[in-house]
Amino acid sequence: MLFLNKLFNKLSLFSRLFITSLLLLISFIAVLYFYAVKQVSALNTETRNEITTHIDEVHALYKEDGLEAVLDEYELEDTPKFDHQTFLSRLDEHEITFALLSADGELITGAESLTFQNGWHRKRYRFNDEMIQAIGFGKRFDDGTSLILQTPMNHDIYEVRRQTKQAVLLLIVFALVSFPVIYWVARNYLSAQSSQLAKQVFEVSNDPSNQRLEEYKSNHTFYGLGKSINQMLDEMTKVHKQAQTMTVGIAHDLKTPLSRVANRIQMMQQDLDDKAHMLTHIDKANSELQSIVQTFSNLIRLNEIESGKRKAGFKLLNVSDLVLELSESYAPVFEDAGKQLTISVVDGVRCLGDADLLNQLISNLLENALRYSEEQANVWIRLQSQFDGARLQIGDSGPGINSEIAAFVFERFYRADYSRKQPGNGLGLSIVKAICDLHDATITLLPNQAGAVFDIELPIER
Amino acid sequence: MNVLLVEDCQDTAEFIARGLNQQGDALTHYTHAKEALIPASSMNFDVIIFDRMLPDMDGIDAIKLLRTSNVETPIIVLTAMASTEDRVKGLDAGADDYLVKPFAFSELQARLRALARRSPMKQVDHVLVVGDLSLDRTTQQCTRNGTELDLMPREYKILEYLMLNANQLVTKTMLLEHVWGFNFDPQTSLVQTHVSRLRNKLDKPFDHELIKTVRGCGYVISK
Repeated sequence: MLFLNKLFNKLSLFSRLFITSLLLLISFIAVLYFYAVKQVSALNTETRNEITTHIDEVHALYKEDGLEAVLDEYELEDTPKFDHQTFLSRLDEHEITFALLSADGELITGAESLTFQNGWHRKRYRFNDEMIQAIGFGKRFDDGTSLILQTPMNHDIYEVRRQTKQAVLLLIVFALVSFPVIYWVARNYLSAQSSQLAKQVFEVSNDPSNQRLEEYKSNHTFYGLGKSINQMLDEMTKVHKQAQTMTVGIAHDLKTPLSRVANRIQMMQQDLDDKAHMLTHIDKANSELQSIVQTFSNLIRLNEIESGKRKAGFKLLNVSDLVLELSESYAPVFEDAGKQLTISVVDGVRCLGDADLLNQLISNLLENALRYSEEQANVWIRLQSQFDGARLQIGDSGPGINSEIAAFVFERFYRADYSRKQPGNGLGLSIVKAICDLHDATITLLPNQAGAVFDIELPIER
Repeated sequence: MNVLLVEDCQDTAEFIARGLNQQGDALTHYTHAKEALIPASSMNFDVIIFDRMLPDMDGIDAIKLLRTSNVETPIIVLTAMASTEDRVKGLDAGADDYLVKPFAFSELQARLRALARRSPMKQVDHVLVVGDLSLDRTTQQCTRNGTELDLMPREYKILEYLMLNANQLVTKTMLLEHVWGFNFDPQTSLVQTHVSRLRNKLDKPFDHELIKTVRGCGYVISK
């Protein structure tokens, strides 16, 4: 079935229409034929019933009242036996023809040319250049006599056959005439619809970021196509916007440190004789350049994670141990910053993953909390076991992320502070999101919280 | 230190040569892997530096060849490819360390020293000693000037790594790799915080400072 479907999809409009019309024509003819056969068989049954009743009546008449009565009944007193020509002319006039034979096979009365045949039989005769089809029945009675009856086929059968032939012919002629018309109409309809769609696509192409196809909704033929084009435009707009944000991000992240390096070089020219100052300038310039290298390393890292290659190296990990060790490492860092890190980790959570990446995931989120939370903030990291996985939550007491920008925090180079005064390159959370995706984990920034609270649902191994 | 460098990029080679020269180390330089294979297996180098993308063959294949012909000289791979997969490939081929370009010379130097010092006789030391500080690697006991110091697990690991590379620079990246197992830079004061806590226990109560900061590079432990 699938193969037929594939084959059909490869055909041109002409071939499709042709095959469909042909199949329709064949099925119409089949229906007609079936109807005709039914009619003919009904008529035949009628004739047969007549014959079987009649044969018994003739025999009864012969038994009870003798040959005279039979001859009388059929007005055959003068010619109790008649030859083939008379037999044919009787058939032609739809009179009953018969032959009554004695026990030893002698013709008593009836047509001389009829020979005995037991049961039903059909015969064809030629009379005055016309074919006569007859149906006959032969029966041997208990007294040894036998009787053969023949009658022409019901005339209505010929009528049914003739009409059927005519109808089939008409259908074929109609199909031959109508097919080119249907093809022409279909082709014009399709080309009108597609040029309408093409016109819309052309209009939308002037402003693909903001405009979408509208009229496709009323266009039944290309509804799916219109919808797909809109989806494709959405996806492309998204990618385009990401590329734009990225370009701006990269430009910013390069421009700021590079101009600082340029400034330092100018200062070096001024401080050529002052070694202490020179060393400071070199140090600062160096660290600015490091930040550029770091941005690119992060981009490459992000790309590597998103490629999914690392999935091949996944191992069974004790997430509880990993989270606990890392958070305990970070606790003094928070303490030195005047903040408090509360750690709560359940035992024995295991998952398939990449330890290096999970370390980076937690480390990036803790760094984020360290950098952007309020002074003396309370920061927490919790690992809980849930019915269908594990939940890792990293949150802080404030000030949190504005709900308007919450949707963008995982985008590359997105920075909540447009001035980009804070250190960092807006890739940390993109990397977090990519690591979550790689581990089939979902990450959500919880809404309506005092601070930034990230919830990660991690699939686990039991 | 006698170093063999296989690197086709003239700028990088010059950068390394200049640095090593200033330190008084000897350098032999080749631009093609095939030229370097015979000297690498016949001459006595302390460390070999191999670039990955060489004009005639992949550095990784060259390292495999050296290792199959029983050359045991420590090898450090230089590469522009930062992915973990490449790192693992390099280490699997028999390299001892891996450094991603661009790098600071101090980083390379620290790693070269660490590798060169990894001679078989020093590996079995159970007790590491620097001045009046000693660290027992079997009991994990640390004493300075007769006083026992109570170290947290991370502090112990940092100190052990510093003492294994005593008198040599240990960079922040090296500590991240060996103590935390990180192959990424968390851009944080994680290392500084722990080293500073270690110093509070190790140096503060005593007159003489053992751990010294090399600005912008890392730390050195020496008496």
